[in-house]
Amino acid sequence: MDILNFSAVELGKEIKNKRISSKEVLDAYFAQIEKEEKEINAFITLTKEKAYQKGEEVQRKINRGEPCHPLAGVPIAIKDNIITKGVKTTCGSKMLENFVPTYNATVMDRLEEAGLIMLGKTNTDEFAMGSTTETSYYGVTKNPINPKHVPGGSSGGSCAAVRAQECALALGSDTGGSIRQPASHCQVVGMKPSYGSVSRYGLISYASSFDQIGPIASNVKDCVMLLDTITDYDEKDSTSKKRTAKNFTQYLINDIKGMKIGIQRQALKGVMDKDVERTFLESIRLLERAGASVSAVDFALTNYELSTYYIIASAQASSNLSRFDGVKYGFRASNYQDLEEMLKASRSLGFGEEVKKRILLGTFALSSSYYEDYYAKAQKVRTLIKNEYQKAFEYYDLILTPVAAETAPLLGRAFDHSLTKYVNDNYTIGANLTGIPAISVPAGVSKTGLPIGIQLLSASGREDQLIQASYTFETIRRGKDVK
Amino acid sequence: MLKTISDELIKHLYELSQLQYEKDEAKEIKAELEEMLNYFAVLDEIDTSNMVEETKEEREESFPFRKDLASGNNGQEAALLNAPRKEDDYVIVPKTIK
Repeated sequence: MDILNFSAVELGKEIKNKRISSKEVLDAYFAQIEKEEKEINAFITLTKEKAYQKGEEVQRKINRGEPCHPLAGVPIAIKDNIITKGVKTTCGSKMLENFVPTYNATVMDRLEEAGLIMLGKTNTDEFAMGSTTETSYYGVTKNPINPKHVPGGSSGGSCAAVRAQECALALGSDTGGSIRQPASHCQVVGMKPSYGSVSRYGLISYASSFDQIGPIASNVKDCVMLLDTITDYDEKDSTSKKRTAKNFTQYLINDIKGMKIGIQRQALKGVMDKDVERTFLESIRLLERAGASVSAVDFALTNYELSTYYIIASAQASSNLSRFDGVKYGFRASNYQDLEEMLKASRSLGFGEEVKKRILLGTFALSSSYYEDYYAKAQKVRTLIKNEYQKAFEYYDLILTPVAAETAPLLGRAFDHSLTKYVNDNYTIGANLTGIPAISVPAGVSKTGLPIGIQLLSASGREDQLIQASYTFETIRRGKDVK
Repeated sequence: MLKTISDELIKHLYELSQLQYEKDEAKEIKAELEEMLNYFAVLDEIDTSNMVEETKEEREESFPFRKDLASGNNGQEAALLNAPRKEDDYVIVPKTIK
């Protein structure tokens, strides 16, 4: 019996029915980590001792016949920008190299309550700023499908770990596509929930009005089960929404007859890799054959999304990262004459180049002479973009887009200018700007074997539509002759 | 919208961002920021003159205050756990008042 080949839900059942012990599961996964990590480098920190302790706790509960969550005993990896009590949390940065949190993120409390077992903290672009996981201070993560390529980012470590079977589930965070894009590049399922549905308490902030923690898994059902576990109102997060949809597993229905799916006309005109385009068109045909109606819809503001996103995200990042100064925690420089020099030196040495760039851009957008023309302007355009999506969802149930314009790039393309890289976020930022939920599911492969995903978006709070459509799409594809 | 960043402005941004100004790094970043600003100029095409910053929902939403009650068992020890330099109950920093 190959433990690694069970889905998370199946694994939960095997453990509950005592066909496999929690210890056997952990042995299998840590052995896989030992085998793969030298190449993949998905993890920054492993928590072996804690994992086995938790495993024993779960096993005792099961042996006593106590009721257990369906995912009890299932191993999970956690992106290293989510705070874990007593376990180093680095955000992929030198700035937090030795930072040990004294409290848990709310999502961690939820996972622990349910009995999931954390195997370790995964690699991320520094402070989640990037889309290749190459800006991490802790080395690059390699794509398990082809190690010459990046896994995507910033949740590259989490997505690679799931794909390499180093864990059954993972949590990532998504500010501009940071779950969905690496999920597409690593051939796994990744979701950004509606803004406000998963607590941000304990998520180290990048852009507070965009950030969301979300689930990553090898299939839709597992992803949805994990989503259910982490979704709930949290009074410790002032942006947490009270009326949050739950019990998402009821929407795992294999049927999309009559669903109305929109394709953004302007996005179709965007530059796309030939394989991405082919896979996207094939996916449309697949959905149509399954009974959905697919049509093009005008989105006049598509071309303004990238600018709007980067101005607001950088501004909020600049504000959020001002807390890192080497005073109460984090990296402190050793050469300085006075307090001011200490603050500046700590920040300049503690942050990497991309982070500094975004802080400076954000500071610019917020500075008094430019605030109206940049930050305020971008927020207004954001409202117009939000309205445009809302209008589309009055008719359409879903919007379908590619996830990224190209497949996973080769490692080491970091010499590209930032702007060239930012353009790759084109398809994913809309969901963050508007707060709507979105999911990335595997849809095909390129001629060189690199995975290609497609993205589904729905109205805020309508995860039910996303789940039903992506579950159906995945089921149909499984029936096809796919790699 | 701005198209070029002066040396004075980049130095000012470094100061506001509490980052150490470093000539070569600043030159590179200045060039990249200019590239980005030129791209962002596309937002000038949209008329937002009659709009306010917040959306209707944001204006109507009320962010609840939590009750002013001490909770959690963190305390002073936890607060000092990650301090780079500490002595007794204090975090040590260079002189704050000259």
